[in-house]
Amino acid sequence: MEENIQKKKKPIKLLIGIIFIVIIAVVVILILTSKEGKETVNLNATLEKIVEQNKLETVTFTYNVVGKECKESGCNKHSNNIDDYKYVVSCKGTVTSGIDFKKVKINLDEENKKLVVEIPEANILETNISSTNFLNGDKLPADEIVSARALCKKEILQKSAADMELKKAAKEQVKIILGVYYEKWAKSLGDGYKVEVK
Amino acid sequence: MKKIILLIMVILLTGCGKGNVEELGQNLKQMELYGNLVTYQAYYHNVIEYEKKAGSGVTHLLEQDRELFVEYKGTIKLGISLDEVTIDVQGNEINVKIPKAKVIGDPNIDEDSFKEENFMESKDTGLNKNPITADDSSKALKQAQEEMKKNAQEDQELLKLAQNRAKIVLEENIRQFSMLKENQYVINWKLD
Repeated sequence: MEENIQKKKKPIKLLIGIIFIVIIAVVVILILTSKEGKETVNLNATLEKIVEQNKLETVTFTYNVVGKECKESGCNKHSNNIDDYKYVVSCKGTVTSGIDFKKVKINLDEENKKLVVEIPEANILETNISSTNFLNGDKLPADEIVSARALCKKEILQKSAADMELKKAAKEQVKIILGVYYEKWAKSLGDGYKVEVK
Repeated sequence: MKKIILLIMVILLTGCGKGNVEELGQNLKQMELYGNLVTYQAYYHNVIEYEKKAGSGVTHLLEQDRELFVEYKGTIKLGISLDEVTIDVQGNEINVKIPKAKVIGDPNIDEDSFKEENFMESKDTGLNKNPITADDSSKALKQAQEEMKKNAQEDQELLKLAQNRAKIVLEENIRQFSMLKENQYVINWKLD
């Protein structure tokens, strides 16, 4: 009698075991196939906010040149004969270079999770003269200092505007500054977004 | 049967939702933090004002002081010493300390710009001539390099920029070596 009861209980236990395993297997599958909820950041609104930050980004470089004031107009400034010049002056100054934010293009590459920022060429915006020092300065009248400062400003502006290496360096600096600046915006776009400044 | 059920339960309870956060410290130790990391190349457009004093002694009698101006261009590398970077992992928090940026190596002066035809010398009106020689030219070049290095070492804005770029590079390295998703860890930066 007891043996019969034991025999009847065995299939029931087996059935409970199988059901239990199936439940666990389903739970495991559900856990493994689950995905994190998709971020619902309003990308367009965030981009608009980024573009709103349209202040002018600038960098300042020390820029020193030798200024030469010709004795006669139209002299060859490549000459290194001091007799060709009224005076020769060492100009110490700075140039401020910057980019126009209105020309910055920002695109969102959702596929590669990238905020792509394209910046324009840097332009020379301002020059400042900090000091002037004449070659053979003791032989020059003091009133030349005013004209020398004007010459220095003109020379620094001309040389820096034509200096491609300076523009490259300015753009490089702006890229770093903007990279740091846009990084926080990229983070607000959601996990994994990176900034690429071009 | 009971053993199988128990095993499945153990796997479920211990294996899920753990990720690799515990391995974070170990993973980040694989980052090679030695030597210098160059992060920025600064550009300089400068003028060296070199002075050659009149010599002393009989042979230098009636000599005049001379001056030489040279406009030149050059670059100098800035970066950080990776040996001074510290990374301390506490759970999922990564504390990173970055040292101040510094000048790395010697300045590189554009030889095309530092040449004799660009030299502007003061007039030598002394009865005994005091010419600017090749030796003076070498001294002027050395002075130019030293001045460039000094300017870069004192340019806090530029040094900050180089340090910021180092932070970007290290952040990218941490991302790669951590083997985790960015929302699984937090980086606390300390910039010297």
